[in-house]
Amino acid sequence: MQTRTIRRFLAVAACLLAGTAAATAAAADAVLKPWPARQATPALRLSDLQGKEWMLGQLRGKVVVVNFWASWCGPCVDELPVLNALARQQPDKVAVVGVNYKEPLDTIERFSGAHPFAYPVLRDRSGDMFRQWTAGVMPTTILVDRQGRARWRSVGEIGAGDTRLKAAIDTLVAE
Amino acid sequence: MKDSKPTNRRHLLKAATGVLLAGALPRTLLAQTAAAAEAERHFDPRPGDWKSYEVVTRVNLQRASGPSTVWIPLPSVDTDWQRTLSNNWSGNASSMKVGNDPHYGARFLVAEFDGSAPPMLEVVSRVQTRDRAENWKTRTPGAESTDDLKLWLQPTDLMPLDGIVKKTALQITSGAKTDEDKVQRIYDWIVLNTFREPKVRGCGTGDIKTMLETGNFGGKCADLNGLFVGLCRAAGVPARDVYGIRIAPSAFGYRELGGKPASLQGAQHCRAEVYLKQHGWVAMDPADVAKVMRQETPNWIKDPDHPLVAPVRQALFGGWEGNWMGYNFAHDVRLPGAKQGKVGFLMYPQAENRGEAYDSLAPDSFAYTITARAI
Repeated sequence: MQTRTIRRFLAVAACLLAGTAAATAAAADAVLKPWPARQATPALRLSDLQGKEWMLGQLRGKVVVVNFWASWCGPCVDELPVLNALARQQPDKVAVVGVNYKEPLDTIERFSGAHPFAYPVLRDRSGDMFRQWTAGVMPTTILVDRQGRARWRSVGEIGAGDTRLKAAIDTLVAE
Repeated sequence: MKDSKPTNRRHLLKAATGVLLAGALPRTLLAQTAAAAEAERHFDPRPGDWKSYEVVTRVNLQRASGPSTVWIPLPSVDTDWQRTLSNNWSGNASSMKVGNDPHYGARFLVAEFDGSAPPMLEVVSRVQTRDRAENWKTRTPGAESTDDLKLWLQPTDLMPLDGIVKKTALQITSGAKTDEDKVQRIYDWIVLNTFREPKVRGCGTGDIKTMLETGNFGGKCADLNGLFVGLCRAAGVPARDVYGIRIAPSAFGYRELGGKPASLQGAQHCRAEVYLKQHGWVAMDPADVAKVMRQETPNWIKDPDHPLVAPVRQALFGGWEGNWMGYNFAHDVRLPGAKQGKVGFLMYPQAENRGEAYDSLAPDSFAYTITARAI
């Protein structure tokens, strides 16, 4: 009985160990990968805060940084200054849009009042866009090229010192 | 004296994890274990007398212009640990009627307002509750049929059971001989994993698959009891969430395991049950063990054998205090008249006006209050 009990807890602990060894380091910076080659760029149909329809095609000719967020997602809030800075750097060549996941208008407006956005905030009211554009994690940031094709996807909070995302944006601008 | 799991269990857990994890765990965890000088807290819920409570939900819907609808969950649980006595309501709605969820039996009040006055609603629910504590020595097999239990083995929108969920469940329960063993392992795994660092700084949207993929078990992103239920189902053990609200302080002095009766908005809490062949439906709440570890003291306790944590960890495997009222066991509830589609679970007031949902997690802005008193 005692041997069986020890074996059971060793099994549980081993399962934990497999994950813990990788996870005892601090959480990784955002993971940037190319957009899956076989996945076509989904349509991006959203509404703005006034209820007007918004489509990605409106920004054809610019590199578009599409960021999915929610006010209750701590890492989304923490990376806001990075996105604001990106929006201000080359507004004629790079556009940032923030896509809110399923929150009430009132919540978005209160949050925006406390955390000003330097770029448009749009709404994914049903969560359909989130499901089509991301792997289910927030924040996710997708880089769309000047022809409207999704090219890169970054998962997790973009750190203040991030250089990879900025390098990817610069490459798309130069294309 | 309550029959406990093997009396050397606590020491075995410490020994086993110490051997394997000493090299991998942060040094702070071992330091905390060594430094823990606090006397063991007592936490021992026992099924005793029924206690009666009256729970009042008041809504004063803000910024409403034109017609609105409000939905309030009603306690829909009648078991050997909770009896629903009555539900009554009043307000200036043009229509107030009870709605039902056909799949899980959840009941809720649907109040429609025509916009002629600021919407006001009060719902008064009376229930009786008592503590739960499974007697592990005695076999009391459940009476549910295989067909009935199928419902509690199904995936839901927030609880997929394939992919990483299935893989993790099978890893955790590998070699387990009985359903009770499987559940014990999954329970221990949840408790032991709550202090993992997330793989990336990100959040899922409440679904357990993303929770496992990101390794983020904290904050709103995490529903640990939902994860527990999903892993049990994926391992073939019927399990369910019980959505409810804390209605009184803990009788054992644990601040994080009780509610302030004068102000219960924010005290919603989801517990869990598993169906064991030899015991029927059994209470489980690993999320509350994690809550004590994270929040009961200013320092995050990362040792499940800490004297503050150990009694809670032991008792919430098979029991819980009756200072909590269950609303329902429902998932993916379609609220009649709602534009927002299904809600993954129903344990908060919900409202809509002009097609816009109110934020159930912002009671001051919504606005609603929930209070309780013993009667």
